[in-house]
Parts: sequence; structure tokens; C-alpha cells
Amino acid sequence: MRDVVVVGASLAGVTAADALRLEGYDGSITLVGDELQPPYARPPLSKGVLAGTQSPESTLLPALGDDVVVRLGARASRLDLQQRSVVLDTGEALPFDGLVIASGARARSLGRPGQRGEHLLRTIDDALALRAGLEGRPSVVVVGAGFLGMETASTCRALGLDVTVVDREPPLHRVLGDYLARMLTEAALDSGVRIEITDGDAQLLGTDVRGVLLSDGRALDADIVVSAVGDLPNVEWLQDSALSCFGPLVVNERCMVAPGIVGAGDVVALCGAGGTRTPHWASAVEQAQAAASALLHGQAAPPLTPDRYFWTEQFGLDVRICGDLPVHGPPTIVEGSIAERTALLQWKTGDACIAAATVNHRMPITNLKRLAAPLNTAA
Amino acid sequence: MGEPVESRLGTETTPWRGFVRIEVDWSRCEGHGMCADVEPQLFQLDDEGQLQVHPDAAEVPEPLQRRAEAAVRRCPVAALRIEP
Repeated sequence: MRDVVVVGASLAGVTAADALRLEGYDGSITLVGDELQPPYARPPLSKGVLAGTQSPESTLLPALGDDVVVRLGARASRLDLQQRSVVLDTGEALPFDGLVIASGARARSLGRPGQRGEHLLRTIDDALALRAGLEGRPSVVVVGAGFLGMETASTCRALGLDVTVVDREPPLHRVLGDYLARMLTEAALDSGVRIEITDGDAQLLGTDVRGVLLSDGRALDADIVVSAVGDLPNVEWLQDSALSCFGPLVVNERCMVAPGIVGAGDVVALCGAGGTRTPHWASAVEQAQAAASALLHGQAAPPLTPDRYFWTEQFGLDVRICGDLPVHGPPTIVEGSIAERTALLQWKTGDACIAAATVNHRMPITNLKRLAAPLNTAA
Repeated sequence: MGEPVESRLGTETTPWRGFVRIEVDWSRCEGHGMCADVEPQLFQLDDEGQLQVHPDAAEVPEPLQRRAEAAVRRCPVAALRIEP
């Protein structure tokens, strides 16, 4: 293998490039990203960058070495499997003998054609636009009570803004399970955020968006509406190829897709995961490492055993979680207490551990992972 | 599209050679341990989950630099920097 093309210049793509070099690959690596910004970290966007306490420049990932060609503002529009090349929207073809598909995902929008002013929060430009919009001390409606929506609401509320979160389901319930979801929801309510749960999709109101219409007929006015209603994997550029898919790109346990082609990050779902993606930082890193390894070693590469680690910070709670989520029912409280707002929690089924979480509690992440390992029986 | 036109965040900087130094922004570090996963010779989390940086991080020799750079790039809160 002499020519690797990586489609996607965010964490998964960058980590794959790093991992290829760390494993001794000395051929060419070309990293293609459609954003104009150099690779950057997204977790601070809904937190420090939105709050204005962290500069957008500080989110930049330190530059890759000069042995990686980074092509910014270059969009992959087609995969040509016969020619083994990635075709850019300029028509330029980048030939490869190894391909890493890390094209990520984009924010889903609720806006209809002609509507203006809906805010999304996926890219640095999104974050800067929203931050600018917050300067006039607007009222804010956040549609979507997942991680991104709740973190955004938390930051807006900490800025002293009037914030309402709208969703069809109780906040975070589907992703975290009842216990952790309730804990975070209570923290949100305590902070003064309003939460509106109604069936059906919310609709954005106005040509210049000025609120949302709930399915029960109520209209919520807001100066700023943020849609945090999930993301869509960027797979359209694969649609003329044999890798065409509607949902995420499904990769095997080594993150392989086809001979010489691997995938990682928000665009992929690991087989056996029920077709669900795990669009979290640690997942992108471990998938990118596995993908790089598979590209170099094929079936001899070790299969990926996901750490299943992720975290969220909102409403004064720093929650780190490892394991199979959502997890339902009360945990064993290993240390601390929820009332004191610092705790180490563990969930078990019989003797098997299924998940562990810390709340405002620091411990080595390896220990947290151990507490969530199925064969661990120690509390 | 094609070649970059303008980046809001500036352009790529050139990489380093020779000895480099790892700088930690302690106000940002949250102890997720991504760096320690890549290069435990330089980064470790102590029993309290706080990052401990090995004294070598003040002067990382070339053989370790690639791993150090990969470790720094993996930080989710941009708490690590490499300085020449």
C-alpha cells in the first residue's frame, strides 16, 4: 500500500492518519475535508466557545506533520471503485490503494425551504453564528433534548438567558436511561430551564424564524431557535458505488468495509451494534485506530473492543459514562451521593456489570472502564 | 471549492523538529486520559484521575515526538500543546 486517501478531516480522519504513521506506514497520506478550517475539536463548541470563554482558535487540533497532505475546502463527491479513486467536486480524482472513510455527519435541520435564521451547532461557523446571536440577550428555544441540545441549553442558561428545551421524549432518556436522564433533567430544571415535552415534531415558525409550533398547537416565541435534532451521516458521495447505503456506513469488527477500504467516526456504525452509530469522541478515536490497523494488516489486525466511553457536561454536572447505554433502573452508589452532587455509580445485571458512571467525580478512566467491564464483579 | 480560499481560524502551522516541549493548560484538562492511551511514557492519570506529565515532556526527544503529537491531537478539550 502506497497511497492512502482519508475522506474527512475531523477527529477520525486525523487520528487515522496519526495511527497509520505510528504503525510505520510510510507511503503517502492525503486527507480531504470539505470545511475550510483546519481540523478542530467539536466538544468545546457547545461549551466554552459558545459561552465565549474559549477562543475558536483554541479548538484547533495541533497540525499534522508535513508528511500528511491536508486538502481543506475539498469535497469528495464520488467514490470510483473501478479506478480506485475518490473524485472531488472539482472533478479531480485522487487515486488510492487504501481508503479511510471518515466523512462524518452533518446536523439535521428542521427548517423548510425559504426559512431563515434557524441555528444549528455542528461546525465552528455554526458556533460562532450562534454566539453572535446570543449577544443581544435573546430568549432561546432549543429543539432537541439530547446531549447537544441539553449542553447548549446549559450554556445559554449560564449566560443568564431565558431558555426552553423542546422534545418529544423526556431529555436524554432514550440515550442514557431513566436514572441519569432524570438526574440531569432535575439539574436543568433547577437551573431555570423550561422543558416542554410533546408528541410529534416541532415546526419552526416564521420566514425569519421566531419560535416553534408544538404538535399540541402551542406556539413558543423565541428570538433564537437552535435545532439540535441529531445528525445525518455523510454517505451521499458513496451512492454511485457498491458501498451505497441509506443510513450509516456499516463496518465490521475491524472497521473494514471492503478490501483496502475502512471507515471510522460519525459516519459509521459497527456491525453488531444494531446499526446504531456512537458519535462520540472516544469512539471516533478507537475506530480510527482500528481502521488504520486493518488497512495495514487486514484480518491480522485485532478486532475492536469498544470502550464505550463518553461524557457530557451540563448544568454543573460533569458526567462520564462507560458501558451499554441506555441503562435503566437504579445503580449501586459506589461512592458519594447524588444529593451531594458527586458520585460513582455502577449498574449490574446479576453479577455482570453493564455500565458505570461518575458524576463530578474524578478517577482514572481506565478504572471507570474496569467497573463497566462485564466480568468485573467488584463494586 | 478545491484549494482553500480562506480559513476563519488561520492556516496550518509547520511541524516541529528537534526537542519539543509539551504544554498543558491545566484550566482545560478534564482528565479524559486520551493522551495517556497513546503515550503512557509521557502521560498518566493518577489515582485521583488527574493528569501527570512525565518530566520528559519538557524536552521530548525526536523518537517520541510522533507519539507525543498524536497524543496531543487526541485531546478533546484542547488542553495540550506542543511548543518548539
